[in-house]
Amino acid sequence: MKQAGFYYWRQLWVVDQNPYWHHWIHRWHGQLSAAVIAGLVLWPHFETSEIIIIIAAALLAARFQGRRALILFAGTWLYELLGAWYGWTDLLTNIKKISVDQFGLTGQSQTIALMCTVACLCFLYITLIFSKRLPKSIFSRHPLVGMLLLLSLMLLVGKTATGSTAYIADLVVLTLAPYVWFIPQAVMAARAGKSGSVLLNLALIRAFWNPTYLPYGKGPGYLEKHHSSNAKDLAITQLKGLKLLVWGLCLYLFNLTLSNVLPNEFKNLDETIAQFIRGEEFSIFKHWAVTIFSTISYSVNIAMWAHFFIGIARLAGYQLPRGSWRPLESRSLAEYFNRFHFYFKELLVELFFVPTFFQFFKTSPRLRVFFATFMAAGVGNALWHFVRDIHLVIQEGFVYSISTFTSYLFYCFALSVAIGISQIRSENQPQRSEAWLAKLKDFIFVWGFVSLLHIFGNGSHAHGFEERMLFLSSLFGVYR
Amino acid sequence: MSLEAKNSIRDFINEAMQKTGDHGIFDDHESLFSSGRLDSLTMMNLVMFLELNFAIDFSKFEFDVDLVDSINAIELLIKKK
Repeated sequence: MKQAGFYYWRQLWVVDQNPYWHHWIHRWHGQLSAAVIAGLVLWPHFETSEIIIIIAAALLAARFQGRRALILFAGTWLYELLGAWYGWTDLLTNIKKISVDQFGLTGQSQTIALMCTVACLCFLYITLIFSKRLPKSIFSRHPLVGMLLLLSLMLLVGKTATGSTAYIADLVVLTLAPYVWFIPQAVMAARAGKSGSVLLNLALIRAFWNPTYLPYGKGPGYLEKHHSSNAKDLAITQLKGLKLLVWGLCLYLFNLTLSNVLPNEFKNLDETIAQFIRGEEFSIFKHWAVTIFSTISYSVNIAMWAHFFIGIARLAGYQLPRGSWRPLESRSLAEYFNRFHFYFKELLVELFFVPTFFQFFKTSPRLRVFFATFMAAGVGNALWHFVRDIHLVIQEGFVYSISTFTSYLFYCFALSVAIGISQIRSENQPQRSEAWLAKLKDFIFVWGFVSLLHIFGNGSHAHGFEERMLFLSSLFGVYR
Repeated sequence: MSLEAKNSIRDFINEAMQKTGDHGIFDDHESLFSSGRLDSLTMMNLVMFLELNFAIDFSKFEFDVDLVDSINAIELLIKKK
C-alpha cells in the first residue's frame, strides 16, 4: 500500500515526463488550471491585477507564437505603467519621497511616475536602435560603464544643482537605476542580432515576470535561444514551470511556519544586534540561533523568489535553468555561489569575471582566476547592491549611504576571497569523496561560513561594519 | 583538427563533468555551458586549456559562450584561429 502511494506521488511529481499531461496542458482546461495554480501560488505576494497581467501575458505569449513579441511587449510595459501608477514597484514610493521631502511637491507623484516610465521606454528604444546601427561605438561596446557614468553624472547634478534641474536629475536616477543591469545584456544581444526585433528586445529587456534589479533569464539573447521551439517542448517547459511555482509555494510555507514557530526574540538579526550594542543582557546560544535562523530564512526567501520568476518565465515558454538548485548539496564555496544564486552569479561572470579574465594576468593562471573572481564576487557584487539602494544616496546623502554600506563591502571582500581560494583549490583537487561523512564535513564548512558571513550581508543598512564585527565576536564569547 | 586533439578536448570536458558528479554522455553538438551542464568557471578553465594547447588568442575574438559551447563549436574555433 505504502509503495503504491509513493508511486502515485512520484508519478504526480514527474508530470513533465508523462505524454498524458503534455496533451492536458495544451487543452483549454489545462491552460485554465495552470492559470489558477499559478494565481494561487502568487496570490500572497502580488496584487490581483498584477497576477492577472503576469499570468495572462505568459500563457498567451506561449499560446500565440505568431504574436509573441507583441503580447510580451504589451505584458511587460502594461505591468510597468500600471506598476508606476499603483506603486507595485519602488518607483512611485521613491518619487513620492523625494517630491514631498526635498522639493515640496504633493499630489502629482503618480503622473510623474507614469511619465518617467514612458520616458524610460523611449530611452531604451533609442539605446537599442543606436546599438544595432552603431555596434562598434564606445557605448555599444561598454554599455555597463556607460550606464554607470550616466547615473553618476545625474547623481552629481542632483546634489549640486537646485530646483527643477536637480529634481529631473534625481528622477532620471530613480527611473534608470532598475535597468542598469538589464541594458548591457540587451545591448549585447542587439549588437549580435540575437534578440530578434527591437519590439521583442524591449519586451524581454526586463520582462513582466521579473520586477527586480536582477535579470532572471539573462537578457533577451539568452531567452530567445532557450525558447521552446515545438509543442512537446512547450508542454514540458510549462509543466516544469508549474512544478517550480509549487516548489516556491512550499518554500514560502516553510518560511511562514518557521516565523510562526520561532519565539519572537529569535526572528530578527538586526534587532538582536541592536540589543547587543545597547548592552542588554544576551546569551551566546541566542546569538547563534538568531544567526542560523536568519540565514535559513534569507536563503529560503531568495530561492522562493527565484522559483516564482523562473516558473512564470517557463509558463511563457522559456526553458530556463532554475535560479537556485539544491544549494545544501554544495561541496565548496564556489559551488555554493553557483547553486544558490545562479542568475546573480551569471550576471557577475558575464559583466565582471569574463572581461577581467581576458585582460589581466594572462601568464599566471591562478592569479588570473583569483583576480577575475575578486572583480565579480567582490567589486561587481558590491556595485550591484549599491545601485539597488541608490535611492538612499538621493534621500539620505552619500555619507549615510557609504557609512551604512561598510559591512556589505566587507561581506563582498570576504566572499570573493573565499570563493577565489575555493576555486583554485578545486582545480587541483581530485574527485570529491562521496562518503556521507565527507559530505557532512563539506556541508558544515560551507554553510557555517555562509551563516557567519550573513551577519555582514543580510542586505540591511541598520548597522555598520564595527557593530556587526562586535556581534560576530560575541558568537565566540568575545565581547565588551 | 586531428582526432587526437579532439579526444584531448573530450577528455578535458569529461573530467570536468566527472568532478561535478555528471557521469552522463555528451554528443559533439550538445550545448555544454548554455544548457547549464557545466558552469562558467569550467568554461574559463577550458579557455585556458585551449590557449595553452592550441595557441588560441581569445583577445582576437569578442568572447561569447557560443564559441566554446560544444565540441563542434570548439573545432570550428580551432580551424578559424
